[in-house]
Amino acid sequence: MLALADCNNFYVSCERVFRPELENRPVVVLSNNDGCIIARSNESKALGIPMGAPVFQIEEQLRRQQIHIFSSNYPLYGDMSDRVMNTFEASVPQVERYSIDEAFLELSGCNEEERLSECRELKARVRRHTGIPVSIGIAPTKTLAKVANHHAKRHPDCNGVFELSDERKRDEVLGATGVEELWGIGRRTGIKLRRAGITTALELQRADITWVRREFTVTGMRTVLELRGEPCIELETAPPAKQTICSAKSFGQLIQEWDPLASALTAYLTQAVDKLRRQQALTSAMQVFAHTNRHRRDDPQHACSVLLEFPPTDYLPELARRAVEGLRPHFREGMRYQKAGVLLLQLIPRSHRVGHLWDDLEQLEKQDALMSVMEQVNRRWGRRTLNLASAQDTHQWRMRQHRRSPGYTTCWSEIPVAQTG
Amino acid sequence: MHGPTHRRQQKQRATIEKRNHRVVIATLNGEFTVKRLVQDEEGIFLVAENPEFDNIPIRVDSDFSIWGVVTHIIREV
Repeated sequence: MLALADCNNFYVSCERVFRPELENRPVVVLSNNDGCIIARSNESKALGIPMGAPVFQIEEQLRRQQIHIFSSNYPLYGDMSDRVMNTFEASVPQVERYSIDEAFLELSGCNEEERLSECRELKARVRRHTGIPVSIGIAPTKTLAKVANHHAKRHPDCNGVFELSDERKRDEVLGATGVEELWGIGRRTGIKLRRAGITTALELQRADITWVRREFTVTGMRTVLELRGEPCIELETAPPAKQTICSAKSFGQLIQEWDPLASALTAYLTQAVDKLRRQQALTSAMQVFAHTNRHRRDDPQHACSVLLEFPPTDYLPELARRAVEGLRPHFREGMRYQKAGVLLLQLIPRSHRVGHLWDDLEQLEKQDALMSVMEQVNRRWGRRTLNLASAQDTHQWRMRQHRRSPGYTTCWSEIPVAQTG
Repeated sequence: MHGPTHRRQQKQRATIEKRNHRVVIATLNGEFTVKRLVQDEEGIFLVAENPEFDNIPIRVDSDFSIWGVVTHIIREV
């Protein structure tokens, strides 16, 4: 039997762990550059704050209703996520980390009662270890586990844990679930299904399988089978290595000169290379790009992009030099750039590096040693402690994060303080 | 009232028994504090090691939770 464990309002919950006075008060978390609402506490949802709303449109409401606002703090959320996942992994036989705040679990309990108590215990343990509240939906398939989880969240009498294996109960819940709420049903598929007269998950479950396969391919068919309780989508305990790594962001303010743009580019590349090295891979091509803000109709528009190829490497200084030199000729003076980024391509496992006769092995070792030291220092003393000088001039492009909480768990100088007196 | 509140109180009491007389990090009215947790016939208290500070009684309606039990102390010498 599977379960989907999902952290409740995850970003908000992370903030509240360290700000207990915000318990039961309306809280929201904003996207990068403080643009839109990306997480809401239940109290904020009840006040009618819409998901994804641009802040400037509802500023007045946020103030009037005294809603507490946070900029997003990804180092904190990433670290809290790790703690939650570690607790899952120490408690059940198999775990698939599905997203920052969700995991599929394989349960060992033989019957509903055992599984329910297993999950209640797990929920309590995660709360105890991390302070994060989770909801757990139990079912024979991933698609049903998603539905069960949703039910657990919406019905307070479940106390956050719900099992959907009994057929009668299953069909009852599916009958109350809109077809577009299902995992794997996108907006367009949802519209198409509604046009065909299928509005609930139960109707889809009972649809003719050959018709579904013809109209919605094998993906649609899998969803139907999963709704019938036949597992089609396996647990992926070792996530496949990424084929590409992207790091791109909007600037805190528009940039018109080359130097700050090059600096931003180097900083974004630093993050991409960090991910590259974590998955023990090398890259032999990258796309580097920058563009102006398309929504500013009155501004002259420009987008530039360049594809670079080179021998496989993970050495940041070399990649930074290539990226900056590669984009330089395409940059246009006087344009107001809004965003830049890099995309690392043609990744290969590091162990597949093909040595050349004239490779300077000593040089490669030195480069690797330098990168390792940089990573160790940054892990210990916080990101960006040790950095390429060209990435340090941040004031023009650094994200607007006026209301960011401290790095409680990732930075020694920002650790929470408890009073003894 | 019985029901969830009652159950929660019972549960809280059980947790506190397990941690009785240990130094804990607790949140009280939205602030973190380090105190010794003591439960006796008179109720539940947060007790400072410094005798000049008064004991803080924990009432049913206190905004209180135990964040963790202190197991190690790192100090500069």
